[in-house]
Amino acid sequence: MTPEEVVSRVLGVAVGDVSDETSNENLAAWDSLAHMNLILEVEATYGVSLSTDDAMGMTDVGAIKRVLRDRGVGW
Amino acid sequence: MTAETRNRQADAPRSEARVVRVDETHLDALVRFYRRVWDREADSATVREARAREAESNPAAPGEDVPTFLFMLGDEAVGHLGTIPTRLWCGSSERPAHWLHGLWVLPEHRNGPIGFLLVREAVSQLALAMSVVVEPAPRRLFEAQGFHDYGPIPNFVRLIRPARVLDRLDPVATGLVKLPDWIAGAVRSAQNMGGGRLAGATLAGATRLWTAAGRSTGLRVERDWPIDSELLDDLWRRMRGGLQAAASRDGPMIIDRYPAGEESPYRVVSLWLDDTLAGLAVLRVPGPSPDARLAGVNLAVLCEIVYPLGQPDCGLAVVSAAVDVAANLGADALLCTASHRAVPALLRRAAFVPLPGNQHFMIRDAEGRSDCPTDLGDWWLTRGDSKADSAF
Repeated sequence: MTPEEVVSRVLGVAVGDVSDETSNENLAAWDSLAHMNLILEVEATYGVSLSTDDAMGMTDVGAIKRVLRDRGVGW
Repeated sequence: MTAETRNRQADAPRSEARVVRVDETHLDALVRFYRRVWDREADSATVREARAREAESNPAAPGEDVPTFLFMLGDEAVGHLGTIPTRLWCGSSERPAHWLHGLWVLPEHRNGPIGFLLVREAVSQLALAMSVVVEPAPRRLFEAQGFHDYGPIPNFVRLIRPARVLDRLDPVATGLVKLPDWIAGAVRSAQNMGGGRLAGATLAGATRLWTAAGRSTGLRVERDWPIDSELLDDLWRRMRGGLQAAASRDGPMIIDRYPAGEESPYRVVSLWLDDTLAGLAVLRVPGPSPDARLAGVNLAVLCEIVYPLGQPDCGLAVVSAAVDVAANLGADALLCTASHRAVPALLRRAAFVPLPGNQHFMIRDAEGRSDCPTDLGDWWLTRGDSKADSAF
């Protein structure tokens, strides 16, 4: 599953509307609870444990991808 | 999140974002957080002294600092999660546990994962964590961390000055729909005849007759406080034998939780049979109700009821004494929030009526032990737990 698909599923938006630039600034559904759900879903989907820094920095889809790549995760 | 906040967060080195369990090195940040959020007068000396006192009386880990967690951005705390240590009785023994309490994130940092990360760090360090939660958002947050939601703890309210209360609210709109039929009928008739004041007078008369019939004899009520800790221990031991689950109500816990003196927001009534402590009730002195359903009502809160469950007359007597104290303090009504299945019958005899609950009890047991009951009615929980008497 791609990060775009994870974001689409958690935030309830069409996958075609999700890009690297999609963030908590330009997507109203991405509030603090959605952010929490995203962290949990990313951890479950890719089998990683995210640090505080990771969680704080994952405020757009591009950042989520960077965190995953840094951990050697592919999709 | 505002653009300014985002820029501030972006400017801070990412490695400086972290959750810490407070020790001496974080005291200054904790004090600044307290000053901003709760107490403008807080200073290092008072906070250090308070933490030392709490460590000394820590029932979960005697002598150790009470766990407090901060979310730090650089040197500044932007989020806080406190705990209240206790010991949890689960039918055969007591074990350390913590109430999570005081989850707070500064407004400019709320559109992010800080609350979640604070809770996650706390539960990773606490074997048995409990919380009383009202709002749906934090309930979801706790559920995501493995907390089980037992649902809302039932509320009960005793109208002391019904005329004043009925002048201010509509019993049906507030959920007071389970008034005994004869009282509800009397209220409706009186309201039809002449408004809330007459209805209140009718209800006051009815409830006085009702409770008078249930009063016990041979028992003595006193208001001295504090009383001997060992007597409280003995009462708690007799009570817990009839319970499947409850946070401890032993002497040190009760005395530490409810300070004595006129400045204290609490009043304590004790029930005696000769030299034996037969029951205890604690109430928070009346103040304007923060619950919208009881807006305008001068509301006292019944925080604790402690009595051996096999002696319901003692329970009724101590609750009735608490009602008298609340009335003497000028309360319009007395609110009780209590989970155990024995409570509704007791409170009904004292003329309390049910009110829908909104405080959810949640628990996470990392050890996964099966000795905690799964039914909320098996738990003895009241507003005294988690200092929930000030949360609505």
